[in-house]
Amino acid sequence: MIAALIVVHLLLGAGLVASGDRVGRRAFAIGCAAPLATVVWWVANIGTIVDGGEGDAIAQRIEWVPSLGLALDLRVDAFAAVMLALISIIGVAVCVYAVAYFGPDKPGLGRLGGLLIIFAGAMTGVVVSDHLLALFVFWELTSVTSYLLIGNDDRNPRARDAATSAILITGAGGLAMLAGLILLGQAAGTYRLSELAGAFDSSADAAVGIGSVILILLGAFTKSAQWPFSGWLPGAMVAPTPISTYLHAATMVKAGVFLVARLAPVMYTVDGWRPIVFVTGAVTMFFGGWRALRQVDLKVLLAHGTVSQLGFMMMLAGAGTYSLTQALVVVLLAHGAFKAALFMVVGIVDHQLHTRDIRRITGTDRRWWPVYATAIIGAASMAGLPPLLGFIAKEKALLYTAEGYFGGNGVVAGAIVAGSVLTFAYSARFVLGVFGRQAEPATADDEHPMVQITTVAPPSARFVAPGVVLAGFSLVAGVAPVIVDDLVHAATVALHPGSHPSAVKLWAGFNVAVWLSVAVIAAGSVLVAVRHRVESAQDVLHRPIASLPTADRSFWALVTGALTGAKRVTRVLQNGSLPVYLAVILSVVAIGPTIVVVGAVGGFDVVDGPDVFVDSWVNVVVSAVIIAAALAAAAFRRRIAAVLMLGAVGYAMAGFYVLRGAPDLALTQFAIETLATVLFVLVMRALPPYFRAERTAISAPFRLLISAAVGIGVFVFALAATGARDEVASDSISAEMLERSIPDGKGSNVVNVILVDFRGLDTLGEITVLVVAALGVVALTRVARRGAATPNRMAESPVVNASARLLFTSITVLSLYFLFAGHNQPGGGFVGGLTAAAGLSLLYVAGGRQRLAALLPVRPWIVLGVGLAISVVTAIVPMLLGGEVLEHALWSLDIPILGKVKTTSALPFDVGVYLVVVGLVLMAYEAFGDDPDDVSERLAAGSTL
Amino acid sequence: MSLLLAVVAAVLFAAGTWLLLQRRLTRIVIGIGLLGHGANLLLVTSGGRAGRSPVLDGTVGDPAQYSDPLPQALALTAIVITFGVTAFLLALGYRSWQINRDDKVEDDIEDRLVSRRHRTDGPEGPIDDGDPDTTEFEVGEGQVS
Repeated sequence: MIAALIVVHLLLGAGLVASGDRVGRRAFAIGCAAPLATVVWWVANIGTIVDGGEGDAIAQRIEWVPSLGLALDLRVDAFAAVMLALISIIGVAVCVYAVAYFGPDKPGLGRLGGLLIIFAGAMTGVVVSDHLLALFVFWELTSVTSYLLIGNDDRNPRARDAATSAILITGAGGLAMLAGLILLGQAAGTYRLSELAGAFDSSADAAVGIGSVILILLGAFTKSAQWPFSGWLPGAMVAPTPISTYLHAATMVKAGVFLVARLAPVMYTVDGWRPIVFVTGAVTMFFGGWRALRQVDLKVLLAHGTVSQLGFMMMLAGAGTYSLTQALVVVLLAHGAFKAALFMVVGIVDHQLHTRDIRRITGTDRRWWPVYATAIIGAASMAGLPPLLGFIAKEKALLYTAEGYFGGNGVVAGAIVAGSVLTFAYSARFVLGVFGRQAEPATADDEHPMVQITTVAPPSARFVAPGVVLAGFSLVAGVAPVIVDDLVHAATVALHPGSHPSAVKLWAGFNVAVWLSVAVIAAGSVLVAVRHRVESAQDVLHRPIASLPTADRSFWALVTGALTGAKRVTRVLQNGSLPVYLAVILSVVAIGPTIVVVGAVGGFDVVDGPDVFVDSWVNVVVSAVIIAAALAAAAFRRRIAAVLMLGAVGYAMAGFYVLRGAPDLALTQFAIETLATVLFVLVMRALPPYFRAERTAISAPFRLLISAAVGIGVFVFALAATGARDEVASDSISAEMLERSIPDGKGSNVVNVILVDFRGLDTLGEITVLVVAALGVVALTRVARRGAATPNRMAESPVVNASARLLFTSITVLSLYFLFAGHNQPGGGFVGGLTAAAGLSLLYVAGGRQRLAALLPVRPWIVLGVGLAISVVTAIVPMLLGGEVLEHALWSLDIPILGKVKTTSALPFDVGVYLVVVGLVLMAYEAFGDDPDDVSERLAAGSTL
Repeated sequence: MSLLLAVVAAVLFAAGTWLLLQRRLTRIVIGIGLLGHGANLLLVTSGGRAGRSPVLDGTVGDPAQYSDPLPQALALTAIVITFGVTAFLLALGYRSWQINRDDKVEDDIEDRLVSRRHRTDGPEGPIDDGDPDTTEFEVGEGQVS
């Protein structure tokens, strides 16, 4: 049922995004259904979850891959229920508000509303996930939707920059957090949040402990806009106000606090957790308040205030004691209500007055009283004045930090007091701004006139209502905190099982917190009274640091620096020269593994015995031929000579395979080398006879150096690998293949059995590659040849003709022998096909491409396709009959003349291979077989290239 | 593997690398051919000592007397694939000849242009505090009552 809530959000949101402009601002009215569903679920189940503070969590498990233990675990305990209440109730309020906020004809509202609902779903996922990785996925989804929502006005460069900044900071933090969560999950042996408490032992491995703490906190701090990662949040205020209200005040930015609160009871024992969280939170709270006090834009003022409050919450969440957790829960509720209400006020002011600049708002209008009431109650709750919920929250926080149950409590209490003084001051600044009482010299000009509020229409009731309701909650819950007491109690116990938090009361007697509150209010009042002097003092203080690298400027310097650096690297590495690319790749190949191999082996462990230097004297001859021919191929400038040297290497390799006891390889190599040489010659006859000397980006000595390095690397590797194995060990996979070849593969040529049976699926993939290569060859070369086939210019020699005909027949018979005998003797589909192709080459020599075309009634690609189809069908049929892919059966046939023939179903597979190889060679002749002079003529005549 | 075969493999790789770093497609294709031979040599010798060819006559006996069939099957596949690649690269060379009368591999013009571009289209910088224009609606008069 919990999962259904998320799914409803995602589906409804996706539907609204897809609807485009068809529904307009009604998108928010429709989308409202999703958070409303959560509200209904919440009301129906909250009794079970809370149950007078002793309730149980509601959990849901959706199996995904049970064998791997992968499942989606969702769990709503009372703490999640608090977040769920914020997400759903404020979600509904924002939707109602947005319908009034946006003009009926504004484009793009379907997308905006849809993304908002998708975000709400993701945020729901964050708070109900009981699995660290599921939490991460939803977490990142909130970052992505936030990015899209901030950058909604994609033609506005400020919106794009703000969105980029937000996704870079929260995205990078999220990735760090993922690493931290994995460290944590591995250390604890579980990824379930609900099981973490008993499983994580902070003393087990200090490095892992502090590592995961830092990484996870990076994620939480970036998300909750903690200093120095707070710059993105004020920037995000370019988003439309309903979006800012929901994401960047009430819900998403609390995700970091939420996570820290969830983990703190388990992780505060890690050395470093509390200092990091406290210092970060304190600095954030103070400087957020300080900067809020300097703002003239009501919305940006609130944004800095949010940063400050998030710092406050971070300190409470990170302490990991039940009393401060209780304070945090009250702050979460209070802040959600008053900050959302205040943002709604800003939106109303902006909507009606077309400005949010406090220097330009003048006058007070009686008709605006609901707005004023909302602003005053919200700001008072923010400032921590009685009898509002914000007051209770601050009292609890001050009391439990001042009394202190942990080290450093005095510093935390001091930071909260200092931050609260600033909070009081900027709350007053906000209210005075809305009331048009900012008695400061206005900066009005023709473009930015002062706005007299009495000349402007008051907002509609529907527009004001959501804010009034939220402000009303602040007041009611402040006067009668009993309505939230059970929920707060249960949420605290959910994080700290067995604890006994005190009741949430408006008046808890004369304790230290009351006196601190009095001091805060007094100091705050002084700041308000002398606010103009405070502003001048701030200006003076800011002048010297104006040129210092603030967190914001550092971030942008980093971004532009990364872009510039990337461009420099690109200029060097991606310079368009193939030799340079290859040089880089090959150098890495030559150096990297060699260092590893030398380091690992530590010396050369050459095999003992008589064959250290050479294992057979015939090998010396073959090796000499290979080395000489390879060097010649590299050195020769005459094109055809270099090609022939490659051929010589190939034939010598075939000889080497014979010596190694690999007849199949030898046969294949012979056939391939012949065909490859023919292909080379066909292409080379078109090209200039010599390689001209040319300049490359890499000088010849350097190329030589790289080549030598690669050679040495291979030498070292080969020697190091020698120690790995010497003969077919009886327990190796090869030994098993030898053993099972006859009983399972029904063939005595083990190499062929491997190809068509044991590793038959690989072979199927391989011939598919061949088919693709063949198609590529023809596609590349045939474009120039449309229309009639060229006449054959080869000399018709009767002798060549007759011998070709004669030889072709016998070669074809030989190729069929290889094909049929291949399962038990050297041979097989590859060898057979290559042999047949050699016969076809003879025909080509005798009569050109036309001769081939005349002999075969079908086109080359038909041969290719039929071959592949036969192999695929052979592979699939056993599967359809209930066996494995490529399972083979043995048939015994009595054929009249040939007698008893045993065959296996591997034969059709090999026939397919045979046809593919023949088709490939036919395709090659189709491609290169034309007389180059003809092609040149037709190219010159303007045929399309 | 004997020292001799290690030297042969090293020479094949070195010569192949040298050719790969050239500008002519033909030389690159030859280089890939040599690299292929070198790789196959390493594959086959990785099976250990040479032995009887793995074609059985009814019984298996001691597996240690055979050459290892598995690297052979791998090398066979590699030989055929190298042939396919060679054919494809030759087609590229042929096409290059059709267009340019040569098989020279030119520098990629797009990459060259990218590397010469200096200006960034990246983000400009931070958003200043308190821009007086800040409103989500038309700047100017509000809604008249």
